[in-house]
Amino acid sequence: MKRLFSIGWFICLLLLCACQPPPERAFYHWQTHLRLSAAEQQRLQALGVSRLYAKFFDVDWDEISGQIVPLASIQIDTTGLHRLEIVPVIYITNRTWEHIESDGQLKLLLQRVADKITALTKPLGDRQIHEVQIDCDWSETTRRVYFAFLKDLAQKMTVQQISLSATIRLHQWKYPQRTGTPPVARGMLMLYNVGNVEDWKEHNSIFSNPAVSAYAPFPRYALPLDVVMPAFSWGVLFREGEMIRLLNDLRVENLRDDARFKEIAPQRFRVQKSTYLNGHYLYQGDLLRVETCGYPELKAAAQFARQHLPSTTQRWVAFYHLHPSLIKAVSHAQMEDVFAVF
Amino acid sequence: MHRWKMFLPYFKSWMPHVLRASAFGFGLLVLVWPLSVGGDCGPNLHEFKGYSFLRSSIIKGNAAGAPYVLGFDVLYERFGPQKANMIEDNIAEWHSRYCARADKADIYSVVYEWPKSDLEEVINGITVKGYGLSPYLRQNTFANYLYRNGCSETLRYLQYTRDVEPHVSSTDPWQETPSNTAIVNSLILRGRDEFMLCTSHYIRLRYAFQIIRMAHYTKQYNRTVELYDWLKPKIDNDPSLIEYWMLGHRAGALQSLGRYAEAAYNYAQVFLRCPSKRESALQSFRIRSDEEWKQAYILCKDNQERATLFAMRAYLDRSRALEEMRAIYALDPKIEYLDVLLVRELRRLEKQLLGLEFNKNRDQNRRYHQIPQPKIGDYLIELQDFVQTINTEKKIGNPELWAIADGYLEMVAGDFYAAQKSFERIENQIKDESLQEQLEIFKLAAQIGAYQKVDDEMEDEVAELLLDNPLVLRFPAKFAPFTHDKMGWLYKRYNMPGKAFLAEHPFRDLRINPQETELNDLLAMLEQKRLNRMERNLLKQGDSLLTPNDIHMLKATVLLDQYQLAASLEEMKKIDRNAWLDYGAWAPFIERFHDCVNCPIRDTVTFLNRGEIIERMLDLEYRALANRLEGGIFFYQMGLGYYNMSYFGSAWPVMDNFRSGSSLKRRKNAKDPNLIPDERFALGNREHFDCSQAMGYFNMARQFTSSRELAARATFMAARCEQNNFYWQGGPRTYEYFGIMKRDYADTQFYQRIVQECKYFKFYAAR
Repeated sequence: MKRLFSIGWFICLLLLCACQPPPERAFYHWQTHLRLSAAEQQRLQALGVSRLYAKFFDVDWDEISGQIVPLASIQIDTTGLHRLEIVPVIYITNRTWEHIESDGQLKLLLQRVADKITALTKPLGDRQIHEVQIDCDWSETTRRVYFAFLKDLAQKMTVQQISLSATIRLHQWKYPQRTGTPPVARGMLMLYNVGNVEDWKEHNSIFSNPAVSAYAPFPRYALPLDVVMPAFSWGVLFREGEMIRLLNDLRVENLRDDARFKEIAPQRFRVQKSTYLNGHYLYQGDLLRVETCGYPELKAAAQFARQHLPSTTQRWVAFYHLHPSLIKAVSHAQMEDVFAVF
Repeated sequence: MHRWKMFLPYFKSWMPHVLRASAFGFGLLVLVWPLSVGGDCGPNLHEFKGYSFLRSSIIKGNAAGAPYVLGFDVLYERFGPQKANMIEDNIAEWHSRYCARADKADIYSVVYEWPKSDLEEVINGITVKGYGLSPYLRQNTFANYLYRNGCSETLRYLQYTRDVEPHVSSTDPWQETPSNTAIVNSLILRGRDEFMLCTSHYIRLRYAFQIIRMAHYTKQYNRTVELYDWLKPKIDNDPSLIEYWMLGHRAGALQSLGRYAEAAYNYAQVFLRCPSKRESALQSFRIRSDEEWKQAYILCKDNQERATLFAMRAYLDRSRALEEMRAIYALDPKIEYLDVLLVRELRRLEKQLLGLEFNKNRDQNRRYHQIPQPKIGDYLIELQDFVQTINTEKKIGNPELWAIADGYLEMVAGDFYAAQKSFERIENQIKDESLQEQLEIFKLAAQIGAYQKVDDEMEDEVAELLLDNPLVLRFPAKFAPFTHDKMGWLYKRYNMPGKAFLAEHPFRDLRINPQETELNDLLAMLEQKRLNRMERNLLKQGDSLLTPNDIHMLKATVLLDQYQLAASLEEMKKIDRNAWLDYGAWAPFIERFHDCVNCPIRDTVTFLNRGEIIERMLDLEYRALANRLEGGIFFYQMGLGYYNMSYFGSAWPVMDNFRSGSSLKRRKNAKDPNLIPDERFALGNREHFDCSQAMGYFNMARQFTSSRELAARATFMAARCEQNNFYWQGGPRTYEYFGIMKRDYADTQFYQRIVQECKYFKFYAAR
């Protein structure tokens, strides 16, 4: 009897261990005007999304003025944000760090970034900011300065009871010994951009199971990891055999016009007649490859993340990024299904 | 046959100083090389390397869009950024409007710097009887002019700008635009009132600009357009650049309102007629769809404006401008944009294709810059067709430029012979001086590019070009790499690898990683009875001239590196024995139990040159083999020699010519573990890491001696070799010789000494 009792306890314990709490749901917003449409509001509400990672501004080195500048600052219209928690995301280019030459410059940048975040959150009124996220694809040469920045910013934010997170690319997850682990509270694993976008033969550089699987297995990572999965599409424009531009939010449906585009292979098109497309002028003879991450890729990404991320008591699972065409391309049920994987 | 290298300069100093001098020399080399440091850190070493013979002076500097040929960076360097141009243009306009009666510097002070109080004082001087103007203000020629002519409207306007300025100019991009709409609106109203009271239409225009600018900056886009449309008809001004500054704000407001077609049209007008706003007009120019393009096109009033729309689209990054050039040509063949776009496309194509066949950096360009684009050749053919059509139709405004372009495109396509013929054909038609100079440059480049065979006559001709041709001397950065690469390529085709190497790289690179084929070819050249001028030129290495001795010495070094002592000595014997010392002297037989590559060596130690070292090694080997029972001491000395001549010893220059302290840690060539890829040297850096030979001799020394002290020393040295080989090659760590030391020689005096001196061994011994 005692033995049976012990086995029962053991099974219960195993089940408890295997059981993770459901993840918190989030979306990224990556446009300069934060103004949710009715359809977007409805979808977020229906999915129970409680957090929006909103890109507040970029930071880059400006060659002409010879200084580090903020770009593409967000304009917030609070209509429809309801109870969504906003996490400001600041994208900082890697070359920015190459132009920091002293502690003084680093401190100045830190102060400016903090002030800018404060200024841009004014439209949110009394809404409390709990987390700020820094997005940067750092390299070995810029790591020292970037990590120093993160460390100081985290200290500054702690005073305001704000925690700091940073985005983590797959290679950084895979090789933490080489790339280092950023000194922040949490990491947001970006589960996309895994292929070679510049290669015309590439099938889908945003996400593909074989490409992402090549990174596995992963070592133990020193930060608790949230995960963001690709829910976007783009067109990769080739001219004279070279990849020259990405056309954001381009889908195959946008190219269903025989007078202008000819499908030469699945997801691949030739421009038949010079034309404007999504604000870019395409010349006759240009080639386009459409890369889409819809439901199948999202599901595969979720399963990959589920399999390889360690168990945790709290995890944010996010989709990148909220856009009118995404609402049309991936149904509510499909999104539910993806979230349900975790 | 293995390869070797030689780097040291030819010393003729006292032996003891040679080593120190060489160490200093290498240290200095490393210090003065900060911009070229390769590998994992430092600046990008893979910059694009191609050829360019196109001079930007063939386009007139003020041609609309010339910046897109010259590049904005060049323009900033020459003329300053757009803001500086705007100020300059503005001052020039004030100057001309006031009949050039004032100094420009004084105008600048009054317009941009004087406080309101000073302006007020001048107004008082005009309006209050007997007030006068203080001598200080009177010194300013512009203020004086305004005072004498009673220009109080101008002064009131300038006072107004002082109130406006804080709300429209923020120099700090981090500063959020303050929410000052109420103040700005009151300033707009005030400006409108003063505008209406103003009798000078020129000052009205300036008021209108300030008003519209404020509305735009406070994001009142509809109001900006309304104000523009309301104010503009009330101004009857002579043409002014301020009109286009205003129009630029209207365009910005329209774009923010989503009226892209109208905005694009306004930007095109600004681009066409206001040079100081061209840059921002182009950057803001945006059309999203074919429909918007059609709408903007319909708004254009004449072909110049229509052509501007096409030109702006073509000036955008990564365009394929031939389509726009065709469209502009159809509108009006004489429009200047065509010339600018032609030169832009020529510049792009020369970067992609010129001299591709013989560019020694083509693999690097392809790998790091994706140049040339795979399908760029098709575009070249299309552009050639277009240029030929234009030259046939003879409708273009600048036929000389297009005639030259035709020949240059042939050069870019790799047909230098056809280009030469084309240039000969048009030579007499070119009258423009800058085009004549450009043609001369192209002709010379075509001549160099067209060489197809190598002989003394041709080589003499090329050498003369390089040394005496005025164009080459004036533009060495254009001609020198082009000529050297072409010659290198030809030499390779004619199976002259040594000359090919020297045409493309310094001899230093061959010393650092010697190649047998190249060395033999160079030796054959040096042994000729007569050298042509090019060959003599190639042999010049800095201030010295390469000699057969240098090659023999390098070959001897290679053979020594391969432990071929007898063969190496044979090679040395081809050099006069008296000259051996010119190549340095070292002390490879000293005994040290710690690694110290640069530690000073006592003056009492005998320094030997390379030949003497080889002779000593051969002698030691003979004596060791002749006296098997007590040959240990000779084997030990041979071991010391090989150890000290390796990467880990102080006499490393005997078998090497360049040593980098970081080589051991850096990535090595998979096929050749002694070769370190190094961007600074064409063939990389060859080191001598291998200590196996030394280890073998130390092992023999241990076995062929009756002295336990010598055996202990030899065993410890073998352990160091074992350790170095592990550092070099990795793999499982072994302690075979430490084990022998501990097991067999723990009772020797040397053991007791080394346990004290070598912490590493002490740690092992204590285990």
